[in-house]
Amino acid sequence: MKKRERKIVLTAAVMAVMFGISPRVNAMHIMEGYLPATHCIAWGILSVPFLLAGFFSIKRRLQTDRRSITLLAMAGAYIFVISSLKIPSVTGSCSHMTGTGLGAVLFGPAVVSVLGIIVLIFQAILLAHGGLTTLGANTFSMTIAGPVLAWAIYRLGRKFGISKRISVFLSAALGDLFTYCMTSCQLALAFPSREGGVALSALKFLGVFAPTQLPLAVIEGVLTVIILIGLETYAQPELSTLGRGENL
Amino acid sequence: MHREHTIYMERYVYASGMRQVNGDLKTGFCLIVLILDLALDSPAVSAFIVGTMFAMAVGLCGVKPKDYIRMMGIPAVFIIFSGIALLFASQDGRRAAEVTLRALGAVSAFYFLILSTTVSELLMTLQKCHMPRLFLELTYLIYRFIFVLTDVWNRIDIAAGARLGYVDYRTSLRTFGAVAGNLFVLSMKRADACYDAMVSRCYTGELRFLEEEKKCRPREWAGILLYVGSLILVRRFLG
Repeated sequence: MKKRERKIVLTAAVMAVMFGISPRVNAMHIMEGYLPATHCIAWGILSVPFLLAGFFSIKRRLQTDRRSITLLAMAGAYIFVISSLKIPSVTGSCSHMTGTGLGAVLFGPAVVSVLGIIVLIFQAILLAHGGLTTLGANTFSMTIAGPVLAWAIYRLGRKFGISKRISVFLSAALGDLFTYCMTSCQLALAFPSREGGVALSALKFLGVFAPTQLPLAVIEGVLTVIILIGLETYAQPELSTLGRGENL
Repeated sequence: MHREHTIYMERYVYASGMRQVNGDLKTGFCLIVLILDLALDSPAVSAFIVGTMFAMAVGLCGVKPKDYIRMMGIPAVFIIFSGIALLFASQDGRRAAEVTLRALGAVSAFYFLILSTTVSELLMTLQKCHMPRLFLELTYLIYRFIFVLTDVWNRIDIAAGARLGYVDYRTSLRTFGAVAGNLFVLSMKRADACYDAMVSRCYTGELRFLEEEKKCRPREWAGILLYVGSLILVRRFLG
């Protein structure tokens, strides 16, 4: 291959990767009406214990400190706004953060599950992302599975003395990836492949979403680290009122 | 794009011709249609729902057809994208088409709900279903704060852009992070101020809302029965 040809191939490859990012919008939300009725109910029931745990933890907290109600509500609104913003992407296309890693590290997984379901309701009502019948499935993958894993990775990373920034990056990026794996599995369970069954179908769903999700997970990780650096610089007192100041 | 979109949908609800209809009735109707769309799982029923919901949004809510189609465009892209994914994964073209149609039907029914029913009406209905108060209060406050924060973000974003914050990719990433961090600080300050404002208006741990009383009229009941009846007929005779 000549030098010039190599250049063309390289450019084409870069373009292909970039365009891979562009069609993704919120592919992670399962759309309204996409799952069969039984699956909607099953995922809903599965989410209930986590939501109850979060609800009681918020309730306990409010009993000692009524003031946190507006704080918690702001936190919810913050997650909504962050996840509805276009993040800078190379092609000028429309991609969004999930905010799961950020929320989990800032507020803890229990609180995030409750705030998350409210955010999902508003994403459905105001932006038509997701829906009411798929609320249970989306809640499970986006506000329970993702944040719990993100939080666990962050804690583990800190425990083993990995630097703060790297643990935040890993937790946000892996939390994002885990959410997407979960969504693929949910879709595969609802639509098993004819010959290979659920497993093959899951692999295929993972494959279809991978080119868009992998770069996004990395971007999400980078952005979360940048946001947290900003927070450490400007918002130490506010972080302490959330009770997580020393963690960061 | 989404920023304008948020306010966009809201505006329709408040100007909607369905504004005077009882909120519980509207919510109940849309839920029934949603459930039937899923439960009957037939392309004919879904197509019927897509068509009639479009007609009702235009005729009853007063949405311009052009705007409605543009609004449907956003979820339609997701649905078609997911439809392609489904086609690859399950290798069943017929099933993929059916599911796509069913999803479109559900989105239409759901759109009718959000174009006709305000968030406060929805919350009132949830309250009657005995959702915990705390959950509803949080939901209401989050709803309110979303608009406050979006407004703040808009202004910071313009300011950052004017200072060449988005001049290249590296800088835009850094700006995005800095703006998001700043937004967090501002939101926490606002939350504090908001609590003070609530307390000075006698907030003692319970938010109360004024509910407009809207009676259900017989012809609305008749309309719902007629619609559900025709869905079942479509299922029987068209499959």
